[in-house]
Amino acid sequence: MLWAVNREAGAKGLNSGMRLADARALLAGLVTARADAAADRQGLERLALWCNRFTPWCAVDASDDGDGDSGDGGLLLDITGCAHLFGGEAALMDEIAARLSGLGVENRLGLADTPGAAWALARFGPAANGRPESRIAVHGEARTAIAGLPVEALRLAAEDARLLRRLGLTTIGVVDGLPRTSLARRFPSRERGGAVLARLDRALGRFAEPIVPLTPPPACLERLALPEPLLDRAGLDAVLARLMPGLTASLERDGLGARRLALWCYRVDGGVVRRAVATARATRDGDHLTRLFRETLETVDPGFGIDCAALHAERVEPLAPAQLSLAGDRRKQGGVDLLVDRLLAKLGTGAVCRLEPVARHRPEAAERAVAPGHDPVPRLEMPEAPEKPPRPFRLFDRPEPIDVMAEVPDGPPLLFTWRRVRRRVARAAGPERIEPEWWAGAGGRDETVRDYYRIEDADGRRYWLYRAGLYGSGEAEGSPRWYVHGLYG
Amino acid sequence: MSASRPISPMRVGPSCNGTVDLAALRRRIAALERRPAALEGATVGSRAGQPWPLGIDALDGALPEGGLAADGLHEAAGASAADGPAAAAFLAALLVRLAHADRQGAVLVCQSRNGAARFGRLHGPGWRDLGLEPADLLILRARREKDVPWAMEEGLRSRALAVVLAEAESIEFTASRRLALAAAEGATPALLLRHDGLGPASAALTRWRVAALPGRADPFDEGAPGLPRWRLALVRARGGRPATCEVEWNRETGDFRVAAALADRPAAPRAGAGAVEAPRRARAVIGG
Repeated sequence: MLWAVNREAGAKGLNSGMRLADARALLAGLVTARADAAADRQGLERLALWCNRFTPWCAVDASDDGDGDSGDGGLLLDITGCAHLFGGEAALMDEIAARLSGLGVENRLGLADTPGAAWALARFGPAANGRPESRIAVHGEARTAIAGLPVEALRLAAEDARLLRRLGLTTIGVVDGLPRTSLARRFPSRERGGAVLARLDRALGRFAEPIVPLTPPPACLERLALPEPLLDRAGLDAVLARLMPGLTASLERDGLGARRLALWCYRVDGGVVRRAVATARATRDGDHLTRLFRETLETVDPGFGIDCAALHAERVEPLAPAQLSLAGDRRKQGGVDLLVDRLLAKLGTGAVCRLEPVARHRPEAAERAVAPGHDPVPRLEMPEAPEKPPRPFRLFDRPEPIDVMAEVPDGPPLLFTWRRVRRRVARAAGPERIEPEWWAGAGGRDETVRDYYRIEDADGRRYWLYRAGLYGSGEAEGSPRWYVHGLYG
Repeated sequence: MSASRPISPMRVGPSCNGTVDLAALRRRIAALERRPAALEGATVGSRAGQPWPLGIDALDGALPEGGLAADGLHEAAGASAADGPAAAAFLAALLVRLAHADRQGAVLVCQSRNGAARFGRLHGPGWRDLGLEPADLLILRARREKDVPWAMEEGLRSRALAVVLAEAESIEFTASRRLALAAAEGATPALLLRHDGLGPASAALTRWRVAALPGRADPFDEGAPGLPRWRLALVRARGGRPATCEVEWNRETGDFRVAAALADRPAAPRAGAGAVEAPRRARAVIGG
């Protein structure tokens, strides 16, 4: 079966749905390739991403999925408010058509108030022949523009279109002229009649048909088309420097600050490169954001050149207008945020953190790392023992097991071997007993009692050791084990 | 240039019979020697100009400005591999003192993953006991060793931090020079813990070799460890001279103190200790 044919094969009398043997008989030199619906879909999505250069609201047309006979996918672009950037609707159509042709994509375009009417104009509208106006329905004139088109242009199922034709209803205008109830009654089932009416209503704008964009449209966007494709990093920096002031100005006007920015680079060959940076706190400091991009732009591959770039503010938060403060601390706090963003941009999220106390007994669980921009949550204060022994300033992620000679049952160690060096204990304080919380020990998790000792060895080095378990607590648990958990210096 | 030169020789002469702040002069000369570029702008004078004394005469006297320069790079390493934690603790003590001197600044500590495995990661409650709120502590844990000096430089140049501490496996001279310049430019003190010991050359203003010493017992508990005690060897100080001192660190008051065994001694038996006293006497003569 033929899934799709190109223009030349079509001119020779082939069409989709034909059996391969028949097609071969008709045209001996036919070149075929196996149809791959998933790859088609992916290709369309890539193209839709690339179309973001025209408008941020692009989607793959899903309305002709599923009825099998299509091989010609479509893209839907909502160009509301975009056309004037390209010199009007006709100029935009021209540019899209020219660029798609340049990529080797055969295309037909239609422009109308509704996706349905645009679909009809693109597929069944008059041949453009260099006059894109003929496929543009003037605002509010969608009905007249598609009235003369065949009923197939309504995106109907094949059998519905056949039925309409058999009834002598060949154009959209005629179908629309009939009373709705009588039109619906001509179909064998209520569902099919309803579907046809729904298609009609959508094409004529009586029924909304929202377009879900492939990528969420940004809150703010700044784009720059380049007369000459860019090939190097320096050009990219210059582009960024041109785009950033505009974006920060729009953010400021809307009282927003960016949490995530992305630079979209559209390549001549149809590829799209996206590089995003995130900030710890909403900001619209152009210099700072530009600096964050510095690291990520290193990896942009310009291919055969980048001919269009756009800066998207993908995630924004309300940000009050900046106020010059008399005290220096606000400025200082800002400086720390900027620093954190720079560090994170290069080293990856999670590289920088603050420590936040957690209401747990076990030292390793008593704190957690939080992202620096994170505002401190109101935290539970544990009722603390009045005189808590000092804690080490260094803690091992994993306590290191040691061999110990200690007084039995609960004396401090006398001698221990850590990292293959034997150390004689000179002074010891403790034990400080740390047990897991009553609710945490259940379920086979670590529930042994720990007795912590502060130790100074004969050379003056200080350790935080603990004994897991008790001596003589039973055969099943074996003898207690000892660990170094932290260092005092 | 003449406008930015603060004291001309003409003005020093007449003021000699009155009061001359020798320390301020020294500081100025050191600044002239060290960073001529900084004097042209107005960057000197804020907190950058204030050297920061350790509170121990033997060491402060050996430093050119009577204290650690607050806009320089200071290195420390353990006297032996096992003394690494002692050097880390000494730098932690310096860090806490500096963070206290600069009330509102955050502190950045840069570690690599390997470094964290060596002597452990930072433990918040322990830092609170040292006198630094964990909330003021920004911790960077880099995946690669070479990101540590990079992050340190970024932190120093940001001018937003009270002090930056980094731990490095090894630092070459060029890298240390870069860090020293960043510290001067950002007017931020930089502390560097070297795991590889003090290498052959470095651009640091001061280099310390730290060894742990057996300490005294806790005054309230015979068997318990008391204040930590270190032998601090000032191996190199630009514009100063080497010195050695045994000190105790009191984390509750945040002070260094000459260790008792030395302080209790009636007279200075060694040449080193005598030389340490010399500048103080000289200052007294001029002041009178």
